Amino acid sequence: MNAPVKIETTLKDWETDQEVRWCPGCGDYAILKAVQRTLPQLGCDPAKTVFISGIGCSSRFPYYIESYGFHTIHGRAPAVATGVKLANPELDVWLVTGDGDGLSIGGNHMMHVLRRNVNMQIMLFNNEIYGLTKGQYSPTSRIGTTSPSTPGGSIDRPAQPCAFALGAGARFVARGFDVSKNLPDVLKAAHAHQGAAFIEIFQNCIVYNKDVFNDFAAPKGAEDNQLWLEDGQPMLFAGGTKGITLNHESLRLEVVDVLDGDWQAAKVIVHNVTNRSIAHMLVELPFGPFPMALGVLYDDPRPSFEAEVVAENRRLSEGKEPNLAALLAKGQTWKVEPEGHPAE
Amino acid sequence: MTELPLVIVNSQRGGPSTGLPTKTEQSDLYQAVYGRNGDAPMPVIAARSPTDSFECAIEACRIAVQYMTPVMLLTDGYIANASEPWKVPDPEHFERFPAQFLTEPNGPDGQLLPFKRNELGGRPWIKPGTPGLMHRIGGIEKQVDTGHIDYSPANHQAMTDARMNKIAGIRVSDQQVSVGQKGGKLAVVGWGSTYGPIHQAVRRARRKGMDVSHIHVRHIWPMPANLGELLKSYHQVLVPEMNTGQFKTVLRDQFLIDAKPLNKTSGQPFTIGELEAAIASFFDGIPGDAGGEVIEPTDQQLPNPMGAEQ
Repeated sequence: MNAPVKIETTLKDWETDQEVRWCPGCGDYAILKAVQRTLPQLGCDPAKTVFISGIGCSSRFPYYIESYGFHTIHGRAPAVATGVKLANPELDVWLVTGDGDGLSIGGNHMMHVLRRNVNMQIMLFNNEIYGLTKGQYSPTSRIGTTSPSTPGGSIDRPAQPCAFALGAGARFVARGFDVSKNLPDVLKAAHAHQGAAFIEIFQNCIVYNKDVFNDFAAPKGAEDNQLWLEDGQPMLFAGGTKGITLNHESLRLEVVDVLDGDWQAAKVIVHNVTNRSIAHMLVELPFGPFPMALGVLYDDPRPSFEAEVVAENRRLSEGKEPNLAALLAKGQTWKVEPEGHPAE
Repeated sequence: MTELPLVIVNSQRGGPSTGLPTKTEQSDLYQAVYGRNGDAPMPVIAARSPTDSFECAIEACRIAVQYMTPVMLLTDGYIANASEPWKVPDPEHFERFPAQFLTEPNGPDGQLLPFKRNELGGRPWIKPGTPGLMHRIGGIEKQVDTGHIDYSPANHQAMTDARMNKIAGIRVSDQQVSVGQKGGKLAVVGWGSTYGPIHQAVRRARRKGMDVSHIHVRHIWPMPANLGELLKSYHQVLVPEMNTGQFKTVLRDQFLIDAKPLNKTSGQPFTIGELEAAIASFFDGIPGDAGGEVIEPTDQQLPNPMGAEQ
């Protein structure tokens, strides 16, 4: 967007009169509130804001935001969102999808919206299950997930949304979770990024996949397992008693103890959001041996697709007037005289 | 379901699946007319030649924008790969149909009604970014007028009827007779790229004294209002198609007429000879009929879409 005018709104201005229909206790409520809290802080204009979703629990989201909204077809939200942004680059586009919609049926579209770097915020609600269809395993379900479609436990290895996004060429990759107080800050960073900003939001499906993220996303007591990344700051967690270092021999990240806050002595590395190599390591950091990497993992903008399209169209049309008649008469045309064909 | 304008051009090939990727066929007619989940009628237009494609595309856009609906424009491999001399039209001679966008709330007390229909049955087109007209659309059934999610029985009935009536009520020009006249012994009814060979075959048959006319249908769905009455004015109706008889079935269904199929699915267009032979079989006792001179089709015999004198 070209320096949009900031509008004064409140959380209430972003609520529709529609009844919000998710299961009681669903993590989607917390994400909805976080977004509705963030939009006024960003000075967004409801008339210039568009929420576009695919299909699934997450994708009911646009019905509850008082802006323009399109609940599209399964997996195809990126295609529609790309069209909206190309038709009017002034619009602030938010894409809402889930692990099924965005990585199963819509994985291909997701890849291309990231690769093309269309300027929008992409929120992928990851609950590691198909909630709307009553609990079948999804492409992000962990090995061994027992579900109606995997009664003996799932055997296929899960997709990693952030690794997928980075691999597809995303220039902004971030993580948050539904009840995190930091989620609005992650959303603001995504909004500030010019280009496709991918945010994986862990979301608790309390009916079909309850508390699978509790080890790092429980409302209380899981803070020590959260590595909140901040540009220019050392990668510390567990209240600053632990940190992440790079083993220069194995070229792998490692957890180190930090004594008395002396992170330099422990060789804890400083997060640089533009370091793509470290970003590749962060998105694949296995949870368990490592804390969950959260916040902005990677942020290194490149010109966005729609900005380049607009620039190219301007360049190609410079000094030209649209003329349909001239266009039709182009190519192999000749004039038939009333007397017949002109003499050779 | 969202009732947004869209034009889909289906240049048909031999199917199913990847089928014959470079060959021609007309076998997507059922898909175009019927092939959706739910009751989702959609206008279908078929171009008969490269030249005709120009006007058909404009007509498809006109219907899409005026009625807020997707439109299917059917061509096929034969048209897509063909070329012919074309008199370049003057764009000024085409009737304009500028898109109308809603800029103010259209309901009582400043309320926005995104699915309030106009006299054509179309809903307003609202550009995202317009102040004060924020609304949500999607694939879930909508309440009449407001467009809010609504699964209630009476509402779904009303919306299904409204969508059906909108498409059924699309105004299309009356069906003309391409060669011959209304009424008589036989009408050869075609659609799409079979125009050329049918045209020539009917002309040749008429020169031999056969009472046969050629009708070529552009508006596959909805059909011209006079088409049923026109077809019923002939004793017999023959429908040549490059499929297994899809348009024939639609005509039988819509008008309860005993339309006879003439089908070919070899990936090749009809030859004039094949059609002449089929026409002649309806005219026993006239020289040139099936019992008299039989024209053997050959591979060299190509259709002549421009209708030049033979």
